[in-house]
Amino acid sequence: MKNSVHTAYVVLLVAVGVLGTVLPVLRGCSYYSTPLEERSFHPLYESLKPTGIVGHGYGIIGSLMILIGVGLYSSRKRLRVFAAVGKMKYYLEFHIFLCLLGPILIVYHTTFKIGGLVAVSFWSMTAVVFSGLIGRYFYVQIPKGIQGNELSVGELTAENKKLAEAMTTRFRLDADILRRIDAIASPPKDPVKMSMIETINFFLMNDLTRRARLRTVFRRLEQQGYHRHALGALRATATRRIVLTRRIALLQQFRQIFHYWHVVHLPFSIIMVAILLIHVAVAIAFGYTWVW
Amino acid sequence: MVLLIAVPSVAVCQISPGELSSAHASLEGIGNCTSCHALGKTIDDNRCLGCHVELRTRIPAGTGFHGRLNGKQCVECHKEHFGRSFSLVRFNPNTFDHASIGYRLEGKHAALECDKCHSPGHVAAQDVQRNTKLMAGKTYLGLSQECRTCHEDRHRGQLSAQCQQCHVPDGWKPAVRFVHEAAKFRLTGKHVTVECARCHNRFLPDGKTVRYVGLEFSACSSCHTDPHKGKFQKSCESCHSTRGWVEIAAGAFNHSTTRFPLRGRHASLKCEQCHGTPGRSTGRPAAGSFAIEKFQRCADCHKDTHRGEFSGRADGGACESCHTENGFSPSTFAHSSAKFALQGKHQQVPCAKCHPVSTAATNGVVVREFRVKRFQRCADCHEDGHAGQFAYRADGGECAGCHYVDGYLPATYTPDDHRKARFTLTGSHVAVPCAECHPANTVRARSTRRFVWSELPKCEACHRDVHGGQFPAAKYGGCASCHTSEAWNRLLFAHDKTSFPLTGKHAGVECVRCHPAQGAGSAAGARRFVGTPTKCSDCHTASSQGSNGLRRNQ
Repeated sequence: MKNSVHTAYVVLLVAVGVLGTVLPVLRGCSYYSTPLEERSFHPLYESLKPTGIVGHGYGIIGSLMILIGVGLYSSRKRLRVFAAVGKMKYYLEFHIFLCLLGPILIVYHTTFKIGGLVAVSFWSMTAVVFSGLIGRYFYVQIPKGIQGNELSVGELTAENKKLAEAMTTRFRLDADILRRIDAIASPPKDPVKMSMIETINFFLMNDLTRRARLRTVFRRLEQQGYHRHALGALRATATRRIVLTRRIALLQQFRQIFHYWHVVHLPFSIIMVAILLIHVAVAIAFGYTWVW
Repeated sequence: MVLLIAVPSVAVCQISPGELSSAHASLEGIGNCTSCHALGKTIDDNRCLGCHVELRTRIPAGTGFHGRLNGKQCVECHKEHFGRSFSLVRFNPNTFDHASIGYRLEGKHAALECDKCHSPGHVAAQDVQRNTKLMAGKTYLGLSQECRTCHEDRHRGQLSAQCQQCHVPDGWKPAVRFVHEAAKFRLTGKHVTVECARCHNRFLPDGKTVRYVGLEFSACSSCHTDPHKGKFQKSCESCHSTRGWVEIAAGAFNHSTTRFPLRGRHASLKCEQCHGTPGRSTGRPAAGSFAIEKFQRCADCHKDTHRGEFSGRADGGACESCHTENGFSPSTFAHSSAKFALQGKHQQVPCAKCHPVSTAATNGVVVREFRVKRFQRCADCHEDGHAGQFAYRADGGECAGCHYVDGYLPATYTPDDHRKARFTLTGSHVAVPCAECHPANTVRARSTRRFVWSELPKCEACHRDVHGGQFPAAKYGGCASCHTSEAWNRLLFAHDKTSFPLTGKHAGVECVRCHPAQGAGSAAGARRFVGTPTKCSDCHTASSQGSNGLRRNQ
């Protein structure tokens, strides 16, 4: 897919996602904000209640989106027949889109009233979504190739070396500045000895403080007479260097963390789907068939 | 991870989307879903009515609030799974339209609080009474629309159970819807305005409940006392109506049964003209009542328009002596009983001609003087048509001397009476109409006939001297010396007394031969008598024709 097409595709997904999130709120804000005991007397109750024409629709469409999102991505990852059908990246993006918007619609279907057995599915879904967001964060920390395969440490190191050379040759950075930049990416202690929590904490803090620390370095460069435009380009390169350096240092830890993440993400998904199916079966059994 | 999944599942091991309300809390649990939910049917109303059995009969019957919802499903109004504190019934008494359940709150009902009526003590429906839970809580079921559901029957079963037939919710009193026409005793006339308590003044044995039925009403005497004390021996209705005691039905009351039968014009009077009207005094005792104590005499009711003029009579001037009940006029007064008996034309004279209206102050009432002081003489009433010509007579010229009450003419003065006059009518005078001798004239400036002369008129006064003054009265003594009243030609004339006595054949000669008519066109009496020549030759001629020798004188 061309970049422009991909960009448009992503923009479309984002737009649909935003609309799918905002429009139901605009439509049913007064209903959703009504206290639970008063909702049955709200004019929008009949349409927005979980069995209402709109509310039930939210649930069905949201569920289908989740099922399709999970099914497609899992199939692409696990089934050999799909191995050559499109890039994993695009499947992931679509999975993220469907599994973000789908749960949002599910939330509207619940009318923010969670109870009963299906509440387990809901909270499982919530755990899956949030774990998915965390997983996405962890996922990008593990560099991958175009086909989505993980890159080796050697490949990452070679790439990092290229970045160092670019900074010294192109931007004529001295070793001291380079060292300061690298220091930003360095963990406080040996990554092997860092626990999972320390690793995550370092990553989070590093992401939060990286800009400020880099700014301090670049102030010195400004004092040295570096032009702003050059500093802008240098900042991008420096940032990539810091991230890559950090990733290389903690690659193993992140692989482990990502491995454990699956332990949360997958079971909750299974529970979510299982109870979802029970919920749907019971609803149909009791006559709540939406438009049929 | 397992615990994370299992605990919530165990703790919330149900497919319920939320807690049931406290009213349905006993139905909580996965095993009770079908208590309300029917498979494939969402919420089945029959499941609801399986517990709410009181509505199961009322909804199909269309009674009460739920029976008038036109097939609305239970779940449309009564939601669930909103938690324990959720109220299944959202009912605002202030905005609820009570008319929607078939019983409009009107009048004082509208101001009542709900629980004034909807209280366990007022529940009439047995199925609701059997439901102890409903009876213990707050239910709006089970009331009857009968008034006695909430209100005590103050009539103690005397009247219909349908209180609204007489009463309205605005208040028990007055019973505005009550129409007495529905009762056996229909109110008419003045009965309509009588306060209820006036007639319904009796009570049931409890001494407090007014009796409305079982009252005796067939006769007026059931409520009214008979002021006549049974004297008339008739029912009240035969004379009276409910429009009032004083309004007697026309022809209903036989006044003849009283001591004063109504006769004549009395019969056409309105009762109140004699008996007064209620509230308006007539000056008689007990204004408006019918008992009149003084009625025996006309004067007891009628004012004496004669103003006591006849009070001197033996009967004290009793009206009935002259008047009847047919009217004061004409009276029955027999003038013959008066000192002046009406005779002749007097009988035809209207009373007013002789009895003028009094000139005294009468306050506008026409009063005539009937006691005429002067009536003895004709002249007391009649004008002397002869202008006092006969005043010289001994009777003073009294009309009755010549005239009769049958009329002035003809007078009763006969020729025989005329003989007693200074001018005695004799002979042909008797046949002469009075008017010829007594023509119309002016006597004492009055136009009348002259009947009296200061001197007896001589023949010349009436007769023309046909002798042309040959015989002056002073010398010959007037016409009477020769003529009589029998006829002109009945002569008293004796030729012997003349200067030419008729002797011999002269005695047989007709007068006219010696005394011929004088001149052409002369009247028959125009003959020469005086100065007739007496010589023979004045009449006779020496003729030989065997005549007697008389010259005929032309």
